[in-house]
Amino acid sequence: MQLSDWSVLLLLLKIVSYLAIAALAGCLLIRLLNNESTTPDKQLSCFNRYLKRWQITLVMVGFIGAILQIPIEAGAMAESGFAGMIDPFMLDIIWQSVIGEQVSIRVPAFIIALFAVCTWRTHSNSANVANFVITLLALVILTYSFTLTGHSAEKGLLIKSILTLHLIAIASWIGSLWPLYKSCQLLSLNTIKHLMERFGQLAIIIIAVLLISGITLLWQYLNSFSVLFTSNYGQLIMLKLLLVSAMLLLGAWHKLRLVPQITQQHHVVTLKRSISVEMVIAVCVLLTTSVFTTLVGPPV
Amino acid sequence: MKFITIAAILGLALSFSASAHISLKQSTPQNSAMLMQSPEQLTLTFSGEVQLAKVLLSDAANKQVDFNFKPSAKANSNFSWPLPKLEQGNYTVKWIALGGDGHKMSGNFDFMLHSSDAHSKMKNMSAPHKQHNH
Repeated sequence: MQLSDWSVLLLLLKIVSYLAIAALAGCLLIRLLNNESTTPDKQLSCFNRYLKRWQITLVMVGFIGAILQIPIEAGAMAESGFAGMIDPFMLDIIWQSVIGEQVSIRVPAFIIALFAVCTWRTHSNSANVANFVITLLALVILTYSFTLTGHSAEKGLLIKSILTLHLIAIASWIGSLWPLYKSCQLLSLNTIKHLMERFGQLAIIIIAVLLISGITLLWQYLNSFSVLFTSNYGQLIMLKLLLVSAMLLLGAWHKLRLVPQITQQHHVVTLKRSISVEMVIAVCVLLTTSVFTTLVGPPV
Repeated sequence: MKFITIAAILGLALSFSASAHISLKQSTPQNSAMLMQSPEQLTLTFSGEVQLAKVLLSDAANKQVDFNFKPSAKANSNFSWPLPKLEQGNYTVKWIALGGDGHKMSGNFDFMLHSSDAHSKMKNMSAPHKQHNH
């Protein structure tokens, strides 16, 4: 594993794209739950407006990150300081590689996502169906773009599809945490309880998809079980599994204990605090994933 | 039975996607080579197609030797450049490439060039020794 200034910049770029996609997926999920569960009220409108602003900000950040990817990758290749970022030869090499291919589908996908997020009406349910479909399409394209580079680049369509599904599942889960945290501040007790209960039901499906796809991918990427303990890549996977297990335990505690208890504001405060702990762990999961997909490869 | 069939098809489809990582397979001059004559060309052979971004040939004083290397976006596995006549000394070749998976790879290798004078001197020194043995 090599760590240089460029590696740190590339890591940051990856984390930014993960966060943007998580915000897109998470807010989409919460919108779906809100639309189905409650009729619009003043607090819910305020919450929906907040979600919209949050999504626009993160998608914009992701879009800027996607544009900067080519010059940053060129700079990392050139190893000649910041001048490498505008070196025409390096830019040409990166543009004509799979990274260029990834950027050329990621940038329009972010534009589509931005259009969908900006035109989302926080009140009208019927007008949002087309908007929901467009956002979902952008999300699928964006998550699929991750399979074009790295260790999945030479894999077949089946593995790429499984990885896309895995990424959508993790993005939906991690991306829902901040909206759920904010819901504890902006919504009424009843609405919070209803939203949390519906999220808890959907989370079972998300986690099932996450685990099945995750195990399939592990089986594909690792040559043997012992690699998990003997290589840097395996050890980072183990760390990620440990962190995801902690998130699962917290999620189960929320679903089985904290959410059914919500009757008073102090119950919401406890839940909110617990979600904030889950968010810290989620950031660690994203960081670990960024490290082993950017700097460390599976052992040959 | 249906489940077993689906599982078998899925397993077969998954097993076809084994990955292979690209590396520098061969070079001329070879790593740690001791040469008696200036090499006529520098060749790099990779185990798969790469885009070569940089190849630097430098002497022991870190002075770079110009051999008309131009980075190219075209992916290839074999690369070759004619070299100018090199002086005796130690040389290092450093390369940077982009693999088909978008991962940056880099590496370096060294070789040593003895002068042809030194070579003939060594021959002359060893000749009396040989005669003595006879």
